[in-house]
Amino acid sequence: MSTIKVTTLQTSAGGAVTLTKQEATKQWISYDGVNNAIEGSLNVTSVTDLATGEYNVVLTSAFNSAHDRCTFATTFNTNNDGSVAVSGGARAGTNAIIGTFSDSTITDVVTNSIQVGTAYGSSGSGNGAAYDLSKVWLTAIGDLA
Amino acid sequence: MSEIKVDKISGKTSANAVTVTSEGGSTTTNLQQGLAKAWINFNGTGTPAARDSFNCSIQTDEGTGDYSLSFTSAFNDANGSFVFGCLTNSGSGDVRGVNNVPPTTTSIRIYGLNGSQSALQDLDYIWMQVDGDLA
Repeated sequence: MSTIKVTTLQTSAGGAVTLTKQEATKQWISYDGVNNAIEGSLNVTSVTDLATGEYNVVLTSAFNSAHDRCTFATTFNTNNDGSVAVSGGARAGTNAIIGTFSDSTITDVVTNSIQVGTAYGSSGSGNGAAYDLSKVWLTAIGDLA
Repeated sequence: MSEIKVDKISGKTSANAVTVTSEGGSTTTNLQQGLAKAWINFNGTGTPAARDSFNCSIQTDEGTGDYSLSFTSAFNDANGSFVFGCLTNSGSGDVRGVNNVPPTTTSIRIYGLNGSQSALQDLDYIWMQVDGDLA
C-alpha cells in the first residue's frame, strides 16, 4: 500500500483539491442546549444562547454563500440526558429549525453563523413551545469562502 | 490536471490532521474532521434492512418505529453530530434520537414517529449521517 504524508492538500493552482466526486462536511456540532456547552464540533468558534431554545452558532471559517449550502439540524428529546421527554412524558417530538423564530420572525441566513431553534410540538392537551434540549445536532455542507 | 493515485493519505506533522484549502481559497479546513464517519439509508418497515450504508448497520429492531444502529468503527466519544431524515409512504413521519438512550461511541437508538409525533411508526426510508471523530 502506498502512503502520502502531507500537511496540506491543494490543487496545482493553489485551490481546493477535488476528492473524486465527494464533498466533505464543513461544519458540525453536538451542543448541549441545557448547559450551553459545546460537546464536540468542527468549524465552530462559539454558540450564543439567544433565548430558550434559540441559539446562534458562530462559525470559525465562513461559507462562500449564505444560501448555497445544505444544513441539517436534529435533536435528542430530553433536557437531562435521561428518560424524561420534554413534553410531559408523552412522545410528542422535538424539532430543530434553521433560523430563529423570535418575535415570530425568521432571521435571514448569513455566511458566518447559523441560527437554530429547538422546540417541542403541540399535543391534544397543550401547545408546543421553544425549549432547551440536551443535544442539538447541526451539520452543514457547502463551499467555504 | 495533475492527479496522484495513492491508497492512504496521512498528516505529516500529525497523522490525524490533513488540511485542505477551501473552495473560495481564503481559508482551510481539516479533512479528517470533515469526512462523514457513518451513514445509512434503510427501510424501517417489516424487518429493517439497509439499502446502503457506511460504517453503520442495523443492530436490533426494537419494535415498531424503534431501531438500534451500530457502528463498525467506534467513535472517539459520543459527541458527534447525528442528523436524520425520513420519508414514509403513508402520511408524514419524523425521526429522532430515543428519549432515554443517549448515543454511545458504538451505537445510537432512534425512533420513527408518525407525522403528529404522537406514536411510533415504521418508516419506509430513514437516513442518518454522523460526523465526529473516530477512535
